[in-house]
Amino acid sequence: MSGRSSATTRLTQLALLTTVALIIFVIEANIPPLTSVPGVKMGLANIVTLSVFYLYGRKDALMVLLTRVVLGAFASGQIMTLPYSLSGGLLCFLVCALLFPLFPLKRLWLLSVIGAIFHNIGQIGIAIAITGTPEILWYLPVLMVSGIISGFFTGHCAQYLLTHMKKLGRGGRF
Amino acid sequence: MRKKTNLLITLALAVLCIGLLGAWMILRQKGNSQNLAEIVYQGELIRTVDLSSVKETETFTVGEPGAQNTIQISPDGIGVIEADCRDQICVKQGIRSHGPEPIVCLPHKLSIRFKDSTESSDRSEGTDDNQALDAVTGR
Repeated sequence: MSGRSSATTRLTQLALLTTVALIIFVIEANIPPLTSVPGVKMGLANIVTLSVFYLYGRKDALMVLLTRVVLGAFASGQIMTLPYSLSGGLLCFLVCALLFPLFPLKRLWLLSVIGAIFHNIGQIGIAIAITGTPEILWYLPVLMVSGIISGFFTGHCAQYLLTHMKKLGRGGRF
Repeated sequence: MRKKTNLLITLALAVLCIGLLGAWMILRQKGNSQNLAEIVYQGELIRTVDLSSVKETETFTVGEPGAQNTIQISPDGIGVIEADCRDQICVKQGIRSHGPEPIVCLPHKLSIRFKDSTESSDRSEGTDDNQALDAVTGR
């Protein structure tokens, strides 16, 4: 991530980070769900997405996110849930991309919380559209609470990671 | 200074969480008078069951192997007892007879929602509709 890093270096680094995100995603998919509320997840793979967001910028974060979501659906055998994670992920990304300039590294965790909430809103929206059951909206408050909690922790993880990378002189662009 | 703001935001979020959960629990209490269960599969209402008139336990499947849910209807309520999906969230939701929130299986696009017989508009005959069910499973 030094100034001289070539396109190839960048591509390799991003591919590596996508792999890391994918591994985290698959491991998490194998942990039995914590509750009976659909859509509650820890979203640990988003530690990587958030880091890429701050280290490389929006465009690359979007690519890493999409690659991870699509490959993750295949790798974990949950292709049927792809529409839900895709719409949630995209809405979350849009909101984060818009709000990104307002949140310095010190406030990364808060951006993560906001992103997680919108992830759940996107998920619920598409779930209502697909199943034709507006009553699913009843799950939104519970999902928002789970989003706040998981966003809080993943956000702090990414924030600690990036703060320490910065200390090591590998901060990229903030 | 920054630590203080962070702490304040965290506290505000915690309060918001508790508020949301509290409001949800209070609002939930309202909906417990339903007696109809509507099974919606891939956006279509395939069957309406009047839970108050169920005398015998009945099980049937919705979907095809690979994306299949086994639904049980009994005097205690309705629920998914078996699903060949990974997370088994619909099975964990158990057998229920009422409640504002539906039982859902998102991967298989299946949901079971509860309604009052008074508010059920389009189908008031209330009981089984096996033709429609077969038409869907036969796809």
